Amino acid sequence: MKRVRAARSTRKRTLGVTALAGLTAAAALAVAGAGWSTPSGPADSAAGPKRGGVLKVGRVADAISFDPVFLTDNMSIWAKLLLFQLLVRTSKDGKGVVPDLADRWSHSTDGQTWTFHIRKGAGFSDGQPVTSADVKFSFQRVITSKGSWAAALFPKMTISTPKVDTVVFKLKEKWAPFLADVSVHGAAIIEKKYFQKVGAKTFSDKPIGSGPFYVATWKKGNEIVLKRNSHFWDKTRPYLDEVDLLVLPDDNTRMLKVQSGEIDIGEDVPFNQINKLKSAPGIQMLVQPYDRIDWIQFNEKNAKFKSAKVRQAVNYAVDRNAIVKTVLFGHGEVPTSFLPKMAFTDTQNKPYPYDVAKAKQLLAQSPYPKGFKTTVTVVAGDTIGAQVASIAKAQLKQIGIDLQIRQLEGATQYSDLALGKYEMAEGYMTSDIIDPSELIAYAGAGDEGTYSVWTWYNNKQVNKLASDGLRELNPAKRAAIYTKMQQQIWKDAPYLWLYWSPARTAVRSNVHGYSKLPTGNYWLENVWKS
Amino acid sequence: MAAFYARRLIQLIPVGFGITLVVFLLIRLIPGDPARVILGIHATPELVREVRQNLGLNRSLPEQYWIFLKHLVRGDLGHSYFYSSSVARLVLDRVMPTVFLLGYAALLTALIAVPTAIVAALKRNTIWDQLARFTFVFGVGLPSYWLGIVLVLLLSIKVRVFPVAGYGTGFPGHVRYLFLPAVTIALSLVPLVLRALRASMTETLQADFVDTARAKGLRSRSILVRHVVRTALMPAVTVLGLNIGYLVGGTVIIENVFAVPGLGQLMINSIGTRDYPTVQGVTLVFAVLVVLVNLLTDSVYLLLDPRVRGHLR
Repeated sequence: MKRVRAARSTRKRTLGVTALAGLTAAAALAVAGAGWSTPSGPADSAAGPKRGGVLKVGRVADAISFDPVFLTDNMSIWAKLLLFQLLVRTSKDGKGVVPDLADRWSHSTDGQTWTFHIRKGAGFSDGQPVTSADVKFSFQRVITSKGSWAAALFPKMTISTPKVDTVVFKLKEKWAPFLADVSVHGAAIIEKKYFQKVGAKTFSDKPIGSGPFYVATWKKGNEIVLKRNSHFWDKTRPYLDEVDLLVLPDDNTRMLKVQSGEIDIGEDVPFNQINKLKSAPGIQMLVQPYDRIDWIQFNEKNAKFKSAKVRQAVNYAVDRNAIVKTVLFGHGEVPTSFLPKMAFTDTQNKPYPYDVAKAKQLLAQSPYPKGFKTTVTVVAGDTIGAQVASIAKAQLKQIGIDLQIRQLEGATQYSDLALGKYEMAEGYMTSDIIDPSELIAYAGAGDEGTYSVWTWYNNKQVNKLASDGLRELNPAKRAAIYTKMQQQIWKDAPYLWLYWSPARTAVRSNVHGYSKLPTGNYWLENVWKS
Repeated sequence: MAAFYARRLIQLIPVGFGITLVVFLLIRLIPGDPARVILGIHATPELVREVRQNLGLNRSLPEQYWIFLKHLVRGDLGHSYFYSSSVARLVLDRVMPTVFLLGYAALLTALIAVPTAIVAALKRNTIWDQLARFTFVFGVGLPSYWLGIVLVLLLSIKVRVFPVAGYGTGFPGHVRYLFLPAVTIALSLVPLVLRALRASMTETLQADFVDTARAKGLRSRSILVRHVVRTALMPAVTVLGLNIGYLVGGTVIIENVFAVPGLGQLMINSIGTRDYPTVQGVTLVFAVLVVLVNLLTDSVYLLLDPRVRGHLR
């Protein structure tokens, strides 16, 4: 059940970007520096990095495929990002992008021509050098492959390769999040010759990239063994010889294995074990920012939730502070926007306060003044979700809403959602990039393929603002547009927003330089063991 | 004897067909669509249609079943929707851990239950008898996942004797890594076997042939081993065989708690992701394993009891 949930609900949303100017500044800084962010982490030792060793990482589920274009879940995405390079990638603090395969880039004043220069010495794990032809081929696959989800992230464009280390993108329209979109995992650079030789099916199993590691063996559903890519552009890194990504779906088992030292890193620490592990010997308990928001959504195709008054009343009637305190053991925040806490998120806004009187008053003005009976679907086996639903049930009772909790197996809950066969449902989203543009298309704009996460919330003004924001290159103006849009969505209340929660990772103390990015993935070329 | 085995193995064919048909229909009856699971949040109607077509899910059910059978006859279990791997490979990788775990658990059950039952039957109604029965009956009441975690806390965290979880490498590795999960399963089986064995031993001890053996002047040890235990084992073997057969598909929780990469885990994941070909493949292997366990149980009868052998001729 657990794995089901992981497979379904860890599906990530891709990103958008920080403002053009902000990104360019970040890039300039990075280039002026070492061209690489320096290794840093909570446990960097003065002794300096040591070569060698095997890092064992316990994860909740296995990867599904390594083809960047193929649709996948977080487990595949985070593994992929250890094998491939992107032209640019999200910085450690999530505030901008930094060089990856490209060490320099520039853009025309109209923001529609982008030139990237591939760094010297970059090599695929089979020894072939990375060329601009590989970059062009990888991007062509993203934007033209049948069923490529990431195609929607890019505007119409042409790609040319004037030199063996230079790629030029000419965009057909203004596209504010372009640089962040380039940092999406789907745009990972693959080896053209190898891919054409073996085909997509073999590639998704035995990929070749220019990242710090390559796939040595993959026992499906059990473990992925990654080995050091000796052709990586930086000859001193990665420090590790091997990384084992182990599938350990049971929370208790995963945590016990970190405590016994059988694994070095345990991902997704359950909230109720964070404080205990903080004081456990030999363990660093990392609680880090994560671009994620959890909610209960309303189906607006259902008469009960057509009125914004009803949806607002529910938002006033549920005490989110209590949920964060009791269910997340204090490790979370009450949201002020429909977005995760990321670039352009309106943090000046005030959360809906817990105000039963106000909720009753709003409901009295709605078509259902006396309340009604409804259901919320929860993924069976999701203990956090079940606890949240019970709290909501008790509190909604105070305003006359009789909430029944329906526990459904993961795939069923999700399928009912997409078919509109639900009244209220629990859900969440995470981001793969630092720009909110794609989450906006997913959960805010009603004219996109997913109908605002199948709430069928559709506000024309919001849709227009989302579209304007995508094409506004001035960051300040763009921020103003997005703030206005968030405030409108906030008023319309298509969701009962629950919490922003952090990433929780238990790491052995002899592991240095490990850190999670707000996008949930991690770099391992800077990690070493003592 | 050969005919007996041949007949039993031929029985596999109708059993296999029956079970695949039932599973084929059942998995398609539960709501949920593999295409949507694969696409996740990117599931626009066009993409869903396209994926369904690629997977062959737009064909009619009889047509899909026919294709499945055609491939099956050629020994092809199909291709997993999720892993870029054939179902046969996925299943083959998973069979050994499950078989090893069950064999190990059966062995430990026998090692614990047989001596305990002998002591209990010989010293019937003494404090030893009561102690043996109560201790293990208590064991039945404990949920296995809880027992498993407690064993890990005691033997892997407090005293670091056994690893927390996993499968290990090589035979010694498997023996070490699977000890705790095997003990956890064994502790739930011991009370059942113990009760059956104790009861039948008590009965056998009072049988006339035991008196005859004593009268012949045989040593009591030899009476116990050759006459009493051997005869009394039959019901216990039945109980153990039935339960191991039942556990073939029922080790899921143990496999999850101890991260054993076995068939149960694969089955649950595949149901969750609506990976139809894998679910069908694993079920078929379960059916084969259950039939084989029963066959093995019968073979043990043949070994233990000459009367059964006589019947076969």
